Amino acid sequence: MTEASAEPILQVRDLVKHFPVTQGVVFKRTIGHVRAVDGVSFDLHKGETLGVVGESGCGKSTLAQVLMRLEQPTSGTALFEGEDMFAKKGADLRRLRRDMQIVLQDPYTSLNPRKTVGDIVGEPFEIHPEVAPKGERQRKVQELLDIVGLNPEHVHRYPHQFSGGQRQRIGIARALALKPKVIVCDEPVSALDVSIQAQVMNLLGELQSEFGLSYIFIAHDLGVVRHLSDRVGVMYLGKMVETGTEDQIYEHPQHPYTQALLSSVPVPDPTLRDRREMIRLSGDVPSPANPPSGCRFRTRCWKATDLCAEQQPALEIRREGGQVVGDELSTDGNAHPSACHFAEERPHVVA
Amino acid sequence: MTDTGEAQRSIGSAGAAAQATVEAQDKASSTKTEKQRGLWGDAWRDLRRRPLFIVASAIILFLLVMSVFPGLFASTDPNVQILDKARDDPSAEAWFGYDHLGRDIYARVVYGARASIIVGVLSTVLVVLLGSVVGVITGYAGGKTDSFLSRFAEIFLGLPFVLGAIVILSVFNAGVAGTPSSTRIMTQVIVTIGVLAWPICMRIMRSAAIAAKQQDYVKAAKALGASHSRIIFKHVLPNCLAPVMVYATIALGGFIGLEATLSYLGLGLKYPVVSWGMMISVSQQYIVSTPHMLVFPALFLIVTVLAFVMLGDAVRDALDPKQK
Amino acid sequence: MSAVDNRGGGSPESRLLEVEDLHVEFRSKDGTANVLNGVSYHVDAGETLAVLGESGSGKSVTAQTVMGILDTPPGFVTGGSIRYRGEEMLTAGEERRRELRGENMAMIFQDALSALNPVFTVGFQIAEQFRFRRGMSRKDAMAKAAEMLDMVKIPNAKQRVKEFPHQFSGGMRQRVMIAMSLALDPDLLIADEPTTALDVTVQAQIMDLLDELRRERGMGLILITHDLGVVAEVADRISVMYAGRVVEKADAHSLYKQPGHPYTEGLMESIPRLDMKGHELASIQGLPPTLTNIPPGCPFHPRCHRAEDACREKVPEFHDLGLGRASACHFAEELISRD
Repeated sequence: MTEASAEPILQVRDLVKHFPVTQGVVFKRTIGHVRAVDGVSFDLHKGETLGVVGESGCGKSTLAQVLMRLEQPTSGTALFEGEDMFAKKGADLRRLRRDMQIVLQDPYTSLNPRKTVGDIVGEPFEIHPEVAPKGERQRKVQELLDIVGLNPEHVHRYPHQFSGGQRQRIGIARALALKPKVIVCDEPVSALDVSIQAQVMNLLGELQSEFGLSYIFIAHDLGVVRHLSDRVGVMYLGKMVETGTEDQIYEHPQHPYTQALLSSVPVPDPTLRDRREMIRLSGDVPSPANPPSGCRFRTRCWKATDLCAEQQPALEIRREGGQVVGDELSTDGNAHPSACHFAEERPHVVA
Repeated sequence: MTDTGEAQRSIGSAGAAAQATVEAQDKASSTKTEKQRGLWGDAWRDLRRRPLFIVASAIILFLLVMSVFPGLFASTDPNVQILDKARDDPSAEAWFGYDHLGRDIYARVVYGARASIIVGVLSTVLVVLLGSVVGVITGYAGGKTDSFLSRFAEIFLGLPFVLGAIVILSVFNAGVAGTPSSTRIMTQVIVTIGVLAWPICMRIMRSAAIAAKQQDYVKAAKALGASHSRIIFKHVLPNCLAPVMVYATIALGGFIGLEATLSYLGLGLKYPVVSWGMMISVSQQYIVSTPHMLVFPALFLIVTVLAFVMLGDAVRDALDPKQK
Repeated sequence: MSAVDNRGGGSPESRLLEVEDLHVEFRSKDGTANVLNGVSYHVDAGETLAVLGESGSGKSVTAQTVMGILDTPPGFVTGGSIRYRGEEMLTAGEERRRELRGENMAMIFQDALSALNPVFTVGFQIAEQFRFRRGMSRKDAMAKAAEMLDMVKIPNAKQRVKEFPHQFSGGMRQRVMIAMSLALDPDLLIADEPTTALDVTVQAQIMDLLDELRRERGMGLILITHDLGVVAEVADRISVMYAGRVVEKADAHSLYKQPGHPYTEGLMESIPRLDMKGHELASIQGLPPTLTNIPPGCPFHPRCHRAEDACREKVPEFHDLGLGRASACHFAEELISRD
């Protein structure tokens, strides 16, 4: 971990992405907004992995799309190596694409079924011909396949001839081709079987140390996120509710949602059955088109009071009981930001 | 639940063993030709081995030769009337018999191939080109472009075909004195079919393009900085071809029939041009007494349509790597 | 195959469901896939059997064969026996099997949205069973449907019976599916990956519900899943499947304490644990075999770090390890006696 070393490679501030909800066919009327991402801030340092964890509908995938500039942000800023990412156009944007790449979730739809593996992994070079001269491309593609643990002789095969895990490796090779500095991994292992998932996670770990990559690792599986992440952000309905180092989040969670989430994960150890303290949330995540007022978690929270409905808690370092303390006072090693009026550490939820 | 699919998928990939041997041979040849093969190259290699493709191409080639050089196949003039022999049965002298005006049906079938195939093939090409271009644009662009072009296409879809054709062809020929040349009529018929039938192809293309553009591989290409034209030509189009191809091969037969309808109404081809469609439509009145007037041109029409359907199937399969 | 399993008490006759040496193959123009190669397991009333396996292991195909809903073609049962309360299912007529489905055995699926018909209200779909199989009036059946929704803890059940499947969230839909499958009070419920599509907080609710219903009704529950965590929380006994075979069976506690098969062991080491910060995960190398081409000997040998010549030649028999444990590994005794 390169804590606080120099300037972060990526600084995201108050990022917002709202999708309009429209009605009508010919004359479209906007009747509301889905607040997919609603004010998210974080830093990513070089060589570090930031895990983003949350349930479906929390906005973690939209966050990935916006960071990859596949969707325009509604507002907010992001600095990549100190430069405004969202202002980039034309040649600058192309340059940015070389530095930031994405690995997608579904290994079955993320590869064009009608292209050979050689074409798929070679496509980055065709789009950015300055990276590799034509004669070298075939060799580079084979090199990439070798790096991700595939047989370089399989360049002429089609995606359907590979298993899910192998396809995900092809997707990783494509993302690696331009030697990016940051890779956004959007649920890269959630579609894979357990034994294959471990192989791909190990590969991602090896590539990180070999190429000094920074990852934004988005997943719903808390175990997977802990395994790979240095720091973790927990998202709920478009907002970060708690951020901290992997140890702070998993061993010293302060936000009730983080605690409930951790407690819900089944532990593969039958001896703990009925001995664990369980927090069972009721109901489902509300719709991001119509989030609750104040704290968004209050409708499922056992601590909720009138205050929670009125006032939105900010993501700040808090004392036991939720009182906000300034940065300079946070001498405690476990102090980390959480967005709850009644933040309170609840140790050993993890078993 | 997924297990069933999974098992089937593993049968699919089960070609694994066979694959390995193919692979071994491939390697030997690929060392010679270090060229990157693509979808089309692979498809062509694959097609040449398919009996379906070979048979279909042979039939189509034969029909093409017949339409360009009908004289090679029939020495009789298709328009000579020998009224004595009207509605005579097939014999050694006239293989397919004579029609109600005593014309040699064999000669007419041979000479009719040209008009029918030209109208069928060219109108299909026109419809597919027009429909695909508009379809891909609307499907890929979406939003206002899509709304506008889709509504525009619906105007044509709402028009009854025969009525539309009558209006268009009458307008074309309004100021023409006497009988227009056969080329001119043929062009008019093709354009009419094209104008009236493209929206169907456009709708097929549009929905295929919408499905394709939402795939993750398009997202990945965008993240790599691919341009719109690259995404359309490399990622969207190749994945939209299959449904359009199916439509095109079926439509081809229909268009040959449409030409007959228009001729029957006096709007399409006229004497001295011969076409299968005209022959079939005339045969209606004699269907009981002289069935061979219907049977032979219909047989040729069916074989032609079948050949194109087979060709379409073979090409579609060859373009789908999963079928190999 | 000498499947020895006496845990769960009762004599074979008293068993709720017994699957023995089941063989299923999938035939297609590309060849024959041996999807099941001798699967045996049983479940008694009131207990939870977890069938653990990865995709392609045959866990769902077994369940579909038990229910009699396997698509034929491509699937063909080529051998074995399925007995429900001692009655042979494979030779029973379609009429009899249909009678048993719903009434005696029921199944829920991973994808509750596609398992529900979108054009009918959920109440109508649940009530249908009461009307056609119990001959109830429309009104009574609807009231009973509301009762069922209430049983699976859907709030405002009386109002919500009138809603359509798309108006329910993922978790609520799975509850509707459970209500529907339990409508006719079956004593065997097969849950095929019931929580895989759900978020963890919702998964926990659904698993609690299933466990509670099993206890209340004394049902036998077959839980098909790939999630070792879920299994550890609810299963009494576990059958681990690989390449169409059961490779290990044991009670939950002893399986997690000391796996008796290298595959089970590999799986356990592959999961990123919540309570441990990771280092390298001990993954299982390679891929599961394609079912058209299962390697000779032990099907796991190409991926197994213990594999020896014997494993490449001889399909391992089930080794009885006592206390109802058994493992299909030549080194089962060795594995189990380690510290």
